[in-house]
Amino acid sequence: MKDYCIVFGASGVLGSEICKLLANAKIPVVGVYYKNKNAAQHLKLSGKNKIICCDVTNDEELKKLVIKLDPKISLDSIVISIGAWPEYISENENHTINNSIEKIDCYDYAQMFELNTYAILKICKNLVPLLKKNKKAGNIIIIGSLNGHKLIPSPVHFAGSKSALKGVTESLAKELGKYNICVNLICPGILESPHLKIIDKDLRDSYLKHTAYGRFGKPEEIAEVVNWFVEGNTYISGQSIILDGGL
Amino acid sequence: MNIKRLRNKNIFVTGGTGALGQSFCTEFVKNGANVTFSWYKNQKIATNLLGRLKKINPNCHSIFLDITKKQQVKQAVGDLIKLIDRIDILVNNSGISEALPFAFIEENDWEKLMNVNIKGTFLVTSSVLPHMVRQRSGKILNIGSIAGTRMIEAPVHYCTSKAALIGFTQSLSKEVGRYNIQVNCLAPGLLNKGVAEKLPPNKLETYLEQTALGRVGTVEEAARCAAFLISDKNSYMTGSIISMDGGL
Repeated sequence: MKDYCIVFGASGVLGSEICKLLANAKIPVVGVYYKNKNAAQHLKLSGKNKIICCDVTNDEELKKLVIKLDPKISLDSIVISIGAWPEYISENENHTINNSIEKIDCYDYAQMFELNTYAILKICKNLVPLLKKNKKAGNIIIIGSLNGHKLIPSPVHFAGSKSALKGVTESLAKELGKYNICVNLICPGILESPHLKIIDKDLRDSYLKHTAYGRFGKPEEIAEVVNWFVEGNTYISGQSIILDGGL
Repeated sequence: MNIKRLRNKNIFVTGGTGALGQSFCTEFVKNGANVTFSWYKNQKIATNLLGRLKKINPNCHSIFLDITKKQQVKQAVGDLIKLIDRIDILVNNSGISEALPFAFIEENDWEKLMNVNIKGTFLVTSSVLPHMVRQRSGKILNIGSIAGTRMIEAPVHYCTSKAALIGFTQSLSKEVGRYNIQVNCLAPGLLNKGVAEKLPPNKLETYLEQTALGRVGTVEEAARCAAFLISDKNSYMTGSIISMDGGL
């Protein structure tokens, strides 16, 4: 039985790059998407690779996903590249990611944690038994952000929900180490993507000014690192890997 | 799957004859690189290692070098550039340790260790860097230790020197990023060769109890990670400290 990698958030900018790279490296991929079926289909995952729709905030849907996967695959790695931006939560196009605490609705705050933090816990809770079954070394790679690692201006609810992932990663790494499973957090800086335009111009300029490389990252650069963790990591665990061009 | 991530890259590794240094050289050559390593005390190991590397890639070299001597370092790097034309990647791996409690560390112990671990790294880097700046590209990987990042019971002078490498890495990465030069630090925990072999059993047991994976790492694992970190595939990470400790 060939070892699979499951990628949550497969239709996102980063998730889709990760899927493509893994598939190119001949690692069988199951890409999980929710709303953006078109983008997921554009991945053109064929052969052993597949795409599956699942609302990861819904525990019942995740259970069904596990039932679908269970008999067919030997799971080797889980990549979780899901998350929400403030403007997505508020559904207000005029919001930039510089919005202040006074503007943030408590409902938005809860929603942000629901998507950026709780959903990741739900994924791990449901999928870890599959990883444990595979007696070889496994990897869980969570995509976080610089929040919680570097002092950067950011909406509080986004920062809180993303920085919580550092604790999740460290604690999970300790718990799952005995099963030979490594858990790490990949923390990208600002990336060239359609989301770039929602970031306040001053913040973008400041990022470029203070970053050693003087440029934004590219999704494929982050995907390459994720790809290495899936393919080659056997001893790094509980770490936050910062990919910010030297901020 | 053998992916040659470092094909045709010219890599200079300091301290090539230690267990980790040998593993780095071997892994880099397997990945297609032309490796030059420096050695100081172990001529026999250096000769054997070079023989093994040349069997895989004839474009490998070794240099006798005391990295604490400025003129020697300058001369060696200059000669190397003449020989291989360019240095794409520098791996600052030279380092020493001495198992001494703080009360027994004398001034000369402190100076000897700082000379190799810090001054040596500075001298080699400052000789190589101008070439990288002219090339407008380069990668520097400093080999640190969790002794410099975590609160562990280890010799104070060694921990201090490895912590200094973090500042060195972060500050240098800021300064040279504009020239497309990447500077990172790999900080391994206990590995199967080197310090772990000499550790008293009770200390090793404590370490293993506290490590999520319940084992020491291997020099091969560290070398595989290093090979990725210095490859072109790793292009947006700079100033980063990668702790590789099995979840300590």
